Amino acid sequence: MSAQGWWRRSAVGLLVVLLAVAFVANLGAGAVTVPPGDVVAVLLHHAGLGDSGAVPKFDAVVWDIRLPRAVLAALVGGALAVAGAALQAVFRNPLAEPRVIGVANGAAVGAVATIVLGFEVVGIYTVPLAAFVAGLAATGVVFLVATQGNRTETVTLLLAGIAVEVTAAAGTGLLIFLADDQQLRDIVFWTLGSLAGATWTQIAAIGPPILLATIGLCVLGRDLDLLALGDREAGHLGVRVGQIRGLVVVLAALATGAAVAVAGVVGFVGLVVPHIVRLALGPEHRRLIPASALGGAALLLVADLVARTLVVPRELPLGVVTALVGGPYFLWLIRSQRTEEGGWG
Amino acid sequence: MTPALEARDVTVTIGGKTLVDRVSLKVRPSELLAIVGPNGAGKSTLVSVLAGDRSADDGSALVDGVPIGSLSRRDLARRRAVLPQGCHVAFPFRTEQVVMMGRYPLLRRGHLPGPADHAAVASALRTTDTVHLAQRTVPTLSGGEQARVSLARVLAQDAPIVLLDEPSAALDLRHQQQVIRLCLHLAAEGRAVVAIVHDLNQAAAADRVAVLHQGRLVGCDAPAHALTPTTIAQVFGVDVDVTSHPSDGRPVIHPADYRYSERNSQEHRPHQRHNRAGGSGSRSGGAFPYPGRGGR
Repeated sequence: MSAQGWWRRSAVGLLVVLLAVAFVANLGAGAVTVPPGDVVAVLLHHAGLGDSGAVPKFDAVVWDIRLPRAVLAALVGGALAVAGAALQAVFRNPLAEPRVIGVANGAAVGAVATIVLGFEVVGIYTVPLAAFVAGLAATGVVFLVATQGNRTETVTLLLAGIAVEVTAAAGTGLLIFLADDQQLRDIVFWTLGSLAGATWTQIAAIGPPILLATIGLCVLGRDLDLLALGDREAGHLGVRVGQIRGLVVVLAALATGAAVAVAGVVGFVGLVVPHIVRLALGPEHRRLIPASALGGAALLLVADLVARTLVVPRELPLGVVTALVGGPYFLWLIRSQRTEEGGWG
Repeated sequence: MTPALEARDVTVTIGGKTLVDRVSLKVRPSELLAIVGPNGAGKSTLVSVLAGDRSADDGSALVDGVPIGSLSRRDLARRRAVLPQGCHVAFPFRTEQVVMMGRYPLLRRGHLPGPADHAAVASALRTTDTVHLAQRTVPTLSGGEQARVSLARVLAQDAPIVLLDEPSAALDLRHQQQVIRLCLHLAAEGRAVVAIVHDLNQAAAADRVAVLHQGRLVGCDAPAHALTPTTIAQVFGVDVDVTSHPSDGRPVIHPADYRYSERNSQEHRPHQRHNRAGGSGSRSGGAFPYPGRGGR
């Protein structure tokens, strides 16, 4: 096998190691610093593999306080990256991200509306539930507008996405205008993204849709490859383009909607992670989708670590951390790729 | 014998304009059919109906005697391959990967490509002279190289029906000739091959030539009968001399006059000098590459 093949295979292993390191580091960092050895001991103890069965040090900190948050970070990061990778394939554009199908801004309207209008149907789960439903509804509107007679044009989909996004952003703006000070605080917290207050219930709620979407998109890997040739060409090679595109948009919306519902709007993960992974592993979706899941999970674990520890005792908004690091990095990436790969091709 | 591909009174109307007007033709296995015609004659539209990209507004297209719309996308992909005009690959896939995509319709879901698939890809790369490009990413290749990669992908698909929309358009002379030779070879292997060709001299190498004009099929016959000066003057509005090639007697089409004049640059001149295809009356002899020049 060529050196490239070797690199491609070891890069997947590298991602797994990276994810494990990010996970342990995230669990170890905070007001009380837990050494990596102790973090691993706690995890092994709960897996029934620890020695002697004695409860290890830091058990409560690691297992009860930090683990739900770390698992949630991994799920959210993976979901956003997978959705981004799949949408880039469907739109044949490396600049697509979950935002283009309206799901993020739609979810924001749902969340902000429940905060400002003071709905409380299912207790603390009202906001995430409203965000999830509104996000999927926004994508539904985008899709219905863009579909005519069983055909969905990519450009129409993109334009409808922009229209819905702008309308949703205006709706959010209007609600912010109506909000009082305490509500504004909640809104900012939500729209800038945060994993504070993570619970196992949240994980149980968003885990299934995210896993379903990830597995579904992995299975569609070859169809996503063929879409890179163009709609007609993909059709010539046996892809039912209309249905596949619809399915991918639904799965991406499901993953993003679930992620945004619990973490708020966390930008740039869906854009940057697939991009970096594509540079390292090549564009084949059979690898790109699962590798993006690993990369996105690792990135958000690190971002959450930074958000929690940089300005102790306060916490930085997660979306600010990802965008602050992601934006400049992306600029550099665009610049270097223009010279090396002959532009966006 | 059931034709591999058949158009029955195919009519396509878009925005009130009839692009293809009651075209009927059959393509049999082991046959290369060239489609010629001026810009806007409906060639690509007809091929897109035959490819199953769009349905005819009237009439029908059949693959192996079955209406094309009744076949599943995947089934169709196993029966016919299509080379589109100018294919643009969105992500930095390597040549080898793009050619392997031609095998996807033959792979079972979840199964990796096997030795037969790798062999087909290797053979397609060799045939299209793209072996040295195998590890390059396709968006960084030149237009002609990308066209050859697309052709390799079509070959890898190994379908009994092959539709090619201007396969030689972006290619240099050597590769143009290779493509025509390849089309003939594919037909010799028993496939039904349809190619839209702009160069009438390339079309003359086909088994039959279909001439389209304003959406209608003006003629569909052996090259010597389809590509007469009369038909060419009528359809393309140019004066040509037609001689017969010394090696195999296929018609060779020459522009009658390249000298500039207001007359022949602006309007189509009534044809004055005709040599029937295959005839011996060419003014300076069939062996000379450009007979017109000898007369100057």
